[in-house]
Amino acid sequence: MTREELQIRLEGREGHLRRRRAVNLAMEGLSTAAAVVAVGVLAIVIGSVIVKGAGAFGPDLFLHSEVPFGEKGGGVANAIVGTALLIAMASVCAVPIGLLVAIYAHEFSGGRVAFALRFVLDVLNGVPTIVTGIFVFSLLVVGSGQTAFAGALALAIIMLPIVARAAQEVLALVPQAIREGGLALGLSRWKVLLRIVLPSAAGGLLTGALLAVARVAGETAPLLFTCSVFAQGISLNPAHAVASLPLRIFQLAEGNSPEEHDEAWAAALLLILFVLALNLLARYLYARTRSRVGQ
Amino acid sequence: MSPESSVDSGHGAGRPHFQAQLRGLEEQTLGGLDLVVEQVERVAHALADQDIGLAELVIANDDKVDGRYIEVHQSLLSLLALQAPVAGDLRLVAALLHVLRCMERMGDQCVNIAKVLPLSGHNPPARAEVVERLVKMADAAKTEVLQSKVAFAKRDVELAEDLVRRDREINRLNKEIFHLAVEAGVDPDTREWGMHMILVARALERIGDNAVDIGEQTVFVVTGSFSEFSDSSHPLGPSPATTGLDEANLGD
Amino acid sequence: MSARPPTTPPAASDAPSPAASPAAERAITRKAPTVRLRGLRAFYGDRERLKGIDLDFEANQVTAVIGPSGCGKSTLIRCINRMHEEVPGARSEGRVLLDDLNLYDPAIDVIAVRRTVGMVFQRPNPFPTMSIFDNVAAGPRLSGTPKKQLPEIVERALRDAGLWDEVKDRLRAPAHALSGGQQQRLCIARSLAVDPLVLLLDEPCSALDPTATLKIEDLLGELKSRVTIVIVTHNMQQAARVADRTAFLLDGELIEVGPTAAIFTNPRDRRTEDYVTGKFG
Repeated sequence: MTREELQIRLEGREGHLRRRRAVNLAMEGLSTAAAVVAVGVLAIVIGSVIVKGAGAFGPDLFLHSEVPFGEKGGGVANAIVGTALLIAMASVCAVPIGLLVAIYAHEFSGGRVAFALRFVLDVLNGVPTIVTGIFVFSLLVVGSGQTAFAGALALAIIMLPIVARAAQEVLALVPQAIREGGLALGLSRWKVLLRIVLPSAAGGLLTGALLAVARVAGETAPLLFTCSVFAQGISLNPAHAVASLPLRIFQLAEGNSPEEHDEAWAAALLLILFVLALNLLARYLYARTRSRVGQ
Repeated sequence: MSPESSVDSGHGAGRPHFQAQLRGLEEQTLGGLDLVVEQVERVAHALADQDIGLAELVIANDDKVDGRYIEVHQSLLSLLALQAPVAGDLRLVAALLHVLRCMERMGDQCVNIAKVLPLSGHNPPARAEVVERLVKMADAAKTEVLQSKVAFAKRDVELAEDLVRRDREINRLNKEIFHLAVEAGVDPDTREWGMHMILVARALERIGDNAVDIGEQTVFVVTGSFSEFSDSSHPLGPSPATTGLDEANLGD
Repeated sequence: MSARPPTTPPAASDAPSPAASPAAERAITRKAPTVRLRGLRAFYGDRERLKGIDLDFEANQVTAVIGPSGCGKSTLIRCINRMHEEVPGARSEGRVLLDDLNLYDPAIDVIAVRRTVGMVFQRPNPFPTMSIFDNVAAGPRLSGTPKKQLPEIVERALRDAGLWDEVKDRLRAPAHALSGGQQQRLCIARSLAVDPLVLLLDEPCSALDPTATLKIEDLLGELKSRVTIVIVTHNMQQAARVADRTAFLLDGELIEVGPTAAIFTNPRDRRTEDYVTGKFG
């Protein structure tokens, strides 16, 4: 092959190079623009919440509860406590059950069962939260009244598929070789699971739990029928309905005075910051798990 | 990743390149035996005709035999190092190294004979009955070398073992020449000539022994056992000291 | 080793046998059991992977199992420590005897079997969240060994695996910080910590560089004074270097077994000859 032939081969045909470069540029431009739009939307939402809520965002918000109608001041302390209670109760139900479901699907059954379970969990994940709320309403609230129990149950049902799917995912990440290594040492399957596999997957399991909490912290619909009629003070009694941030925001937004509206924005800001923090924490833990297990 | 080329990557008939190399080296080795046969023929004619010129040619030609030895020996060592032959291939390489040495020694024996001839001068007091037997020995030796080559090439164990029978012929002629030469005559020239002829006969007998060696190597390649067909302590048959590379003998 | 009379007259010199002979001067410090397979068949669902194997693995010796991919070597050793049955749909028939005890007898506890017959896998698999110490201690600790005995057990195991000097100052470091060769020796130490009598190695060096490979091969030579060793390998040079005896498997059947030197200089079966010379792989 002569030098000219080689050169022709490497330089390509006239015009093709230029056209290809133009197409590349256009595609890059388009995708960059789309990314900008997506980020922009988030920025606008968070931005406006920050702007609108910053005003009423202060210690008052956290320390005081609702004040009687007409009085100035007040905060969402009761809603914060109530949300915390609801999340805690829901997690206590959903996380262990979700984890056990994942363990069953991955460790103790065949591939087909695992696949079917994954499917069922995905469907459960897709059920509209209002439907979940109505279901729990008909189960627990009709005839006896609203309780934090009922609200927590509705939230737990929403959390379950999220925890279970994340747990399944993480368990699948643990290499089979690790399990075999444990079995070959003369350890029983349960020991291998509890002392070797789960510790490896711990980071990811926590991530799953955190993501589930982040999801339900802001859910309004499931609480609508189960835990929406609450008193003004801070209450930790699960047998009664308790306040929750999303519902309080709803109430404040429907209020008449500008102070109430400001308070609504501030509470929304609080909620968003909480969810954001959880998401970031979850992501960080997931990355750490991958790097340790995926060796 | 293993420290050496993995042997088991072949698809179908594996390692064709290596097999071709091994075959080539065998051909070259056996070709060296052809060179030796030529040398023995020349030596036989030189003996019959007292042809000093031919004797000098034999001495010069030994360079070819030595050259063949060095070249093939080196190639076999490289093959051993680079290809790590095992089992039958390994036995073949070991046998070829041995055969090469036999080839080289036989060439040297031809040179020894060629060196002795001029010592008797152009008109030696030759005794016809001795010369006649020497020529017969040379022919027998030539046939033995050829037979050993064929036996090896064909991996024919029976043919290889038959070499012992032929070799007895050479040994018999050797003894006869010895006795004839000893009684050759009284004058110093004849007696000196007689001694030289004894040396020639011995060289030819050695050539025969080397051919028998090649036969033993043939059996080794085929069966993996090495047995001396005959040695000085057991002139009539196989030696009882048979060492074999089989299970009963291995392991300590 | 076994008291067989020499067939060649003993040499006058009392120099030790050349190092190349694996069966050479290794004193047995503990008599390990002989592993015997009798009529061993193994199935994955309907597929018969091992078609009736009768094979002995001599006590205190290293036996290599060689054969082309798919011949059933890994299945064979997994039947010895009963890992084969962990695969869904897998089953086996026949007997695996340790001396004369059948490991498949219903009275035998499979967990105890695996503590007696250890296994090292092809790719090093240290437990990821554990330190070097915890990895080696995992077997004894999780089987109920008292905590204060652990440091001594760990040290002994790491010494036996030839890793102690390299890690003694960083026992709490995470296991995955070690190199590949060190990780594999760590896995060997982990297996040794439960004091097995038999050690199975499934292509232990195939993921390692040559130096690490040679270190592990030397290690096996020393370990056999206490443990019966079975090594599955793709690498015939490795079998030649490390094993006293070699067994050749093809398509789930045992074709030939014998002293390694005999297999590699003068095999009896044509198929063995073709395999070791590389005519098929």
